[in-house]
Amino acid sequence: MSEQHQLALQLSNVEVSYGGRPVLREVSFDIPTGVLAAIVGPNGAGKSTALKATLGLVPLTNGDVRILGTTLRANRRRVAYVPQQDLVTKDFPITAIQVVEMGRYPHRGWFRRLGADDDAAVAEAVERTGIGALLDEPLDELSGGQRQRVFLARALAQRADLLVLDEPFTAVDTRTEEALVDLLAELCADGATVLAVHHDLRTVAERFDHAVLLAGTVLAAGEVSDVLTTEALARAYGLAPRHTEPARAAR
Amino acid sequence: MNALLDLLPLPYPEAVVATGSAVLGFIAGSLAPFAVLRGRAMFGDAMSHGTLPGVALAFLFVGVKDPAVLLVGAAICALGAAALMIGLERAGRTAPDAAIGITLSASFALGIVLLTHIAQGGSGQQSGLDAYLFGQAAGMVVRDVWFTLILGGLALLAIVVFFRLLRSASFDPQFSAVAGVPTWTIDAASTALLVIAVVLGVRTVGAILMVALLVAPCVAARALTNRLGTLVPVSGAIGALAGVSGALLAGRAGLPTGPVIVLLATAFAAAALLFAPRRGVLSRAWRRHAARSARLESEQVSR
Repeated sequence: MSEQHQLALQLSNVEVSYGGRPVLREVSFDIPTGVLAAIVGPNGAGKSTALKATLGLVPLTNGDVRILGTTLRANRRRVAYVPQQDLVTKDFPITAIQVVEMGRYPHRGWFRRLGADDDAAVAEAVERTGIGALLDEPLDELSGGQRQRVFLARALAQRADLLVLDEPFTAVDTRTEEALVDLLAELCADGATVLAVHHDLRTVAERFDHAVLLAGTVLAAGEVSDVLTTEALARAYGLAPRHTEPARAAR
Repeated sequence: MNALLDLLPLPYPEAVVATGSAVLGFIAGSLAPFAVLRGRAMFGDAMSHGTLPGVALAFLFVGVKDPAVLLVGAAICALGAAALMIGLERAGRTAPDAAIGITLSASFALGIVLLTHIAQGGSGQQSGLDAYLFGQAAGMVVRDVWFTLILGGLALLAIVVFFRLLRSASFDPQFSAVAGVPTWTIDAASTALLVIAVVLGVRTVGAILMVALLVAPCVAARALTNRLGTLVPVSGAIGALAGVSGALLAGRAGLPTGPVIVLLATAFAAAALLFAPRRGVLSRAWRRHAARSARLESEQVSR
């Protein structure tokens, strides 16, 4: 197997600008297959933008992204994305099970009925995320933690090889966060790769394998213990290191 | 269609108006949710105001008051309004509400100037153009009903065929984009559906008030259901009810059609928001009350 194949994700010299203002400069990092990886960094570091650039949701002004050894276009079914909660239409009339079933659409297409293997994938995702009792509930009546379980179930139903999650634990209770991190770790043990934007540095240090420290550009990337050093954190946050990011300002 | 119209217990012109308004209400109610649920209702309002200069320009260029010609003008200018808003947002970096405000008032102003200019021409041909302001159901002929039915029916068919895609992309555009459907396609689709609804409705309901026939049925239906697959037909049915009852009522009472349809649609929305079984204000208040009493009771028992 070539070295390329063992990398789930490879960003080289990625550059993104919003309205002429550069948000990411010379971003290069690799995520090996089968790790639980976090993108960390201060507010405005471009963490979400890095994920969106990876998934082709914002145009690159320069650079190159390789997913699972090739391009996103060749791998759409194998990549699952859990967007930030405020990018999902609020108050939309949809039930929990309908959201989970969306995870099968990349496989089944936009027109064909879901088949037995789709139903099996959905049932397994529902079981692993523990949302069996919520299936017919309207999404807008669920708590933050329940909603996030539903979105993770959609990603599981997709049976993807690369899961990309943007702030998956915002507005989520501690118990759910622990259950979800356990689940993500299980997925990695089964061979999937997980990349999450996450800002609780304590959880990152304890639970994640791999980290990318971002502040407009990559300050450090690699094994968590090598990345989250006092010196690197001081550089990223521009002050004495601390264990959690300050309360997020209104976006 | 004439055989069907004869079955209605109404004089023939009223039967045409009732059927036409019902069809229009159903189509507007079913097409609008894809924009309204994404917070783009006022986008539709500005497009509806944008039809006015379109109607006036079409009349000035062609010189006849043929509804089909005027509606083509209306559609072109409504799309122009949409393009202007998107341009202001993207290139001009204007906030969406400001872009809508500018476009809405500017197209309305242009429409009024052009309509006044036409009225001063005094050819006699122009009378009736002001119907596009407040709407007029009287004078609707079977050909208008067919036109609404065919164009609206095609749009409805597109919704049925692309339902899964429309639902996914309206709900979570980023997910759909990763799955290979670029975000702009859902914007374009919901804008196209709005243009069709607006253009079909503007003569009956009027440019100023058309937005209410897009929004009110959707608001009412949202209170009654938690599934998009139910919401779309329910919203259509509420729109149809408002259309038919409003047009008949306005015709008999000698009132302007648009405002009466809009008042009825709003009344339906208000009733649904208040009395809906699960999401209604009253049922929510009742559930809160019941939960509180249950809690108090259990606290008393445990004491």
